[in-house]
Amino acid sequence: MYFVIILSLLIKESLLLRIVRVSVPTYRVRGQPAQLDCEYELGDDTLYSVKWYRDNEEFYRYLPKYDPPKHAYKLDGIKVDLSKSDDRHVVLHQVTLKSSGLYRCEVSAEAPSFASTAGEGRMDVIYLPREGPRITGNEQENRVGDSLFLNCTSGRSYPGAVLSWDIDGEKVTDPNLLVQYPPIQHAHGLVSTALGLLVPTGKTMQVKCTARVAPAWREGSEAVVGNSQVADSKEAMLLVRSSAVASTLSITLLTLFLLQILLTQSET
Amino acid sequence: MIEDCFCILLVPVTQVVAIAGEPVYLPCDITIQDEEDAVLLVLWYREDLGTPIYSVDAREKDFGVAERWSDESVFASRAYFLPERRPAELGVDRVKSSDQGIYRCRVDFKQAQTRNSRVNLTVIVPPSKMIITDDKGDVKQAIVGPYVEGDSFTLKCDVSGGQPRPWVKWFRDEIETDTPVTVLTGGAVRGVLRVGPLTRTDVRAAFTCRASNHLRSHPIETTLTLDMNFPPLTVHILGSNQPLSAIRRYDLLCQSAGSRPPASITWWKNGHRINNAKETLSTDGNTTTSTVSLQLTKSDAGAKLACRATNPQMPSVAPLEDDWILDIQYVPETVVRLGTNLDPRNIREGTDVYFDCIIKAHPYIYKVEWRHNGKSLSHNVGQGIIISNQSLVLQGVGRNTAGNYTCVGFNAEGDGESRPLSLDVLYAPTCRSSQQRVHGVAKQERAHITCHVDSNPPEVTFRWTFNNTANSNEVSDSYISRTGTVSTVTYTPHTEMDYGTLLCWAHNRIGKQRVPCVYHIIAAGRPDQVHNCSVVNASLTSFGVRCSEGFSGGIQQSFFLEVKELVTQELVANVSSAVPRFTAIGLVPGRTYGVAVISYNSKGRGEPYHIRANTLRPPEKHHVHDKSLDMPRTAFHMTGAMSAAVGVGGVIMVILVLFLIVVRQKCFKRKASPDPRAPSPPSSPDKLGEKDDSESDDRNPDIIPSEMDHLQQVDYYRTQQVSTISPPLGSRMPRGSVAGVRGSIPAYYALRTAPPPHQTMIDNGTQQGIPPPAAFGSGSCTLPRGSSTGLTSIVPVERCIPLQHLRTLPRPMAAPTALPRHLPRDTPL
Repeated sequence: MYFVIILSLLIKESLLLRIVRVSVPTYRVRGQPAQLDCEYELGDDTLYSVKWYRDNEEFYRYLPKYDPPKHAYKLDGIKVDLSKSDDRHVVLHQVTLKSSGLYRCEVSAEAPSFASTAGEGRMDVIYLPREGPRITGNEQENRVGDSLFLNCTSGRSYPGAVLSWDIDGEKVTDPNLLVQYPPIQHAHGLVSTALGLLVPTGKTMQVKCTARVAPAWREGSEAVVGNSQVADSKEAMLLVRSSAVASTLSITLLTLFLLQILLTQSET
Repeated sequence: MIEDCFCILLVPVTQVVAIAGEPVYLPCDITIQDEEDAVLLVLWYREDLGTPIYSVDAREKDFGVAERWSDESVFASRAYFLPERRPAELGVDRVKSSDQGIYRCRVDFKQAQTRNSRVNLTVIVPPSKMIITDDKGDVKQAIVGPYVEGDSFTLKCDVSGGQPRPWVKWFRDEIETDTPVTVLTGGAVRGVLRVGPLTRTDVRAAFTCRASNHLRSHPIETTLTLDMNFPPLTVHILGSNQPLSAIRRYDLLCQSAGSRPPASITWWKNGHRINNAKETLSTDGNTTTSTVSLQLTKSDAGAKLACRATNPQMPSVAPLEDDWILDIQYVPETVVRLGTNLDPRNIREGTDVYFDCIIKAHPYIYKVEWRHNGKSLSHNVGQGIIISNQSLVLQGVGRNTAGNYTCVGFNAEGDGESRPLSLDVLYAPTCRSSQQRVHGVAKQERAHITCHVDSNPPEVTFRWTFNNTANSNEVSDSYISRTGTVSTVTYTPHTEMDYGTLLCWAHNRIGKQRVPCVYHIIAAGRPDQVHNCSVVNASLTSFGVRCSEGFSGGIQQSFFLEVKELVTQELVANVSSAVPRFTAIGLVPGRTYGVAVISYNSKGRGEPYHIRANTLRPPEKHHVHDKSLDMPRTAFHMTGAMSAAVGVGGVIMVILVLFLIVVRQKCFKRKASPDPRAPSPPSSPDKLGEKDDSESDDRNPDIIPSEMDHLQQVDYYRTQQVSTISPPLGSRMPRGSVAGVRGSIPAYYALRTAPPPHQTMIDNGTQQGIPPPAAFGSGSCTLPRGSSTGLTSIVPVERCIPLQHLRTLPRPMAAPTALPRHLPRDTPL
């Protein structure tokens, strides 16, 4: 699955140098390779250089008049596979979380015009959690009053997972029932998140915590929810019964249902 | 999904601001980290263009000679790369507003990574135009106004052009003011300044409108100076309210200050414009001084002198005025007025007269003076002159009091003398002095006797009477003629009885003459002998003789001089003269001469007067030469024979002298004249009266020898005896005899000259002590009126014969000739 970003093109006359397309994968899972494409038309010009920048820092250039024409600079998180790269493609070895950034391709014609044109695209590298969310409860606290308090903590990922609660299949939206916590930073830039829930007492209900890891989520787009290609969603469920009369609430974890969908990256 | 991430280039951006028209430098770091590295290519892009606008291609050359290229449509020749700078720069001259934008510099290294940097160039275009308008919409450029005190106005400063939009501020005397700013349609910016209400201190205030859009660009500005008009603040006549003198010309000054433009000053006297003023302006232009030259008169006293100052630009403002009520001082004006109850045409001698002096003066007089015929009068009660305040009283006026009277008032301005008032004093006639009182008239001779009187008024009538020893008769009017105050009688004596005295009486409307004028008619005779002769001015060859003349015999007399050699009796000189003063010249030095002075008239000769005179003796060594020199005209040379003759003559002379002494001692009654001479016709001119000495001396230098005529001499001697009256005693008479009156000295001698002069160089032996005949001594007398002279003392009063007695003298004797001797014509009355 590729997000292909077509960048703005400098269209002058057909005989002039122009960028046709710069293709940069939007998301890559850590450890996977990535291929960057730069399609251009030279028109009447001859090629002087093709330069690739990540965040304005050059990491690859192709100068056909030089020997060797291909040259790569070592940047943190970028390892160019020179054998697979040329004047129109750059292949990166196993991307890391540091490989994220804005990738730009600049094509320059030879003298005298030195006409230049460029295109760019952003690539983000993600890390999916290895474990599902965990639901924990405090028995002591729960005894007091008529409600039960639960916490849900996600596994480590990048970017951080987004948690949500469902009671009997219905999403809790009442902010008075939800307790927000700041994300927890871990090594290698990984993040875990937590979310608290106040559960009304007096009946037996099914409580579910869902953790979703999807880069586009932060955009708030529903379209992303249904997209399973790159997103990761895990759920934890349990049955809760509480009595208003009984001074002691027994919390019984009836069922733990873990659904894990492993998404595998496929390269084209 | 498509993202446009062109804007997220993480390339460093440098902000550069340039002023349009100035050069700008765009930085681009081309430094290399490794010495083995090198710059291959420098490319300058403008963000909106795909192709570079400037490039330095050093791929095949050294960087110093690298090929440089500039896009003709962008910077063209204005751009130049400055690689030696740190960082290197792209210079661009004469930046245009269209140069504004984002530029990117890409540097390709041989080894190192390509370096991209960006420059955000902002081009400032200063505002282009500033227009200031006033309330009326008039465009102002340097001066605003003129306004007057209390005015308020606004100035609008419209600024157009400029990128970015400029700010506009008003400054007053370089102090920023709160300037409301609006943006006009069309993009201009308007700053408004409100000024006022104005005061005098606001004049020349500088209002500056200043507009700019960047600190580095010079603001455009316009400064307006406030012009104002002021009415004058002050006006003063300098030195006013002091008194002025009418006799002087004054330059009066009036100053006015505070007017703008300078005040115009006018002068007014009692509302009438004075036109000859001159204006000057002080260097600061604030003060106007007007000078007017005035000659004021007494009539200007109390007049209002005004000085008015106006601002010619402000005619509606009332002029400022300073006034001066003139105080004029002048020389006293005086008028003499006769006392009101006096008739100026009828003031007689003896009356009291008073005058008033009418005076107008400012300041008032400090002194009054009275003048008579120009001479100052002083208060003198003894002389009847009384001066008090402004009055003059003259008591008992006389004829001498008549004349012009003036009074003079004195004050600080000067002396004011009145016009003269003529005082006329009337009096009865009186006899005028200095008339001929004795007339010698021969029988049958017609004489004209004049009587002159003083009289005021001069309308007089005359009456004459004739008195002799026998009777007194009125003179018939047929013999009388009158001219004014002079009456003339034509009189011819026929008999002895016709000699006597004529009396003249005059009267006018004032009265009769109290004392008549008296004229004596006597028989004319030969003149008397001269007397008091002396020798003067003797020199080697000349000497002078001076005598006093004797009585003329009643008619005109003349004189002559005879000089003779003493021994030979040779006549060597004969000089005539109208007066008894002579000079004999051409004589021999060192010799003694016999001199005779003789008077004569138409009736005959008087008795000679003899004296001796010596010429001076020359010094020995010059003896010979002097003789020849001193005798040019006589050519009298001493020969040997002549010397002998002189010697013999000298012996004879000594003998003769001795003989004469003997004779004199024996017979002193008879005065012997060794050589009496006959009278000769007068050679002197017919000029009568007194003559100057020099005239007669110089006129007749000739020596005229004369024959001796014994008969004439005898006759002369006889006549002299008859007609001569013995004179008074000389003070030097050696005898001191009471009766020793010398016949040779006229009786009136003492009345007209000093006492007989001391005789020098005269041999007195022949004359002194010779007594006159006793018969004559008894008949001698002096005039009664002679007592008024100061010489009376030498005249023996007891010798005087009363007038009545004289009249009784027998006529054949000396009576007719004796009378006139008492009235010498020069005796003052």
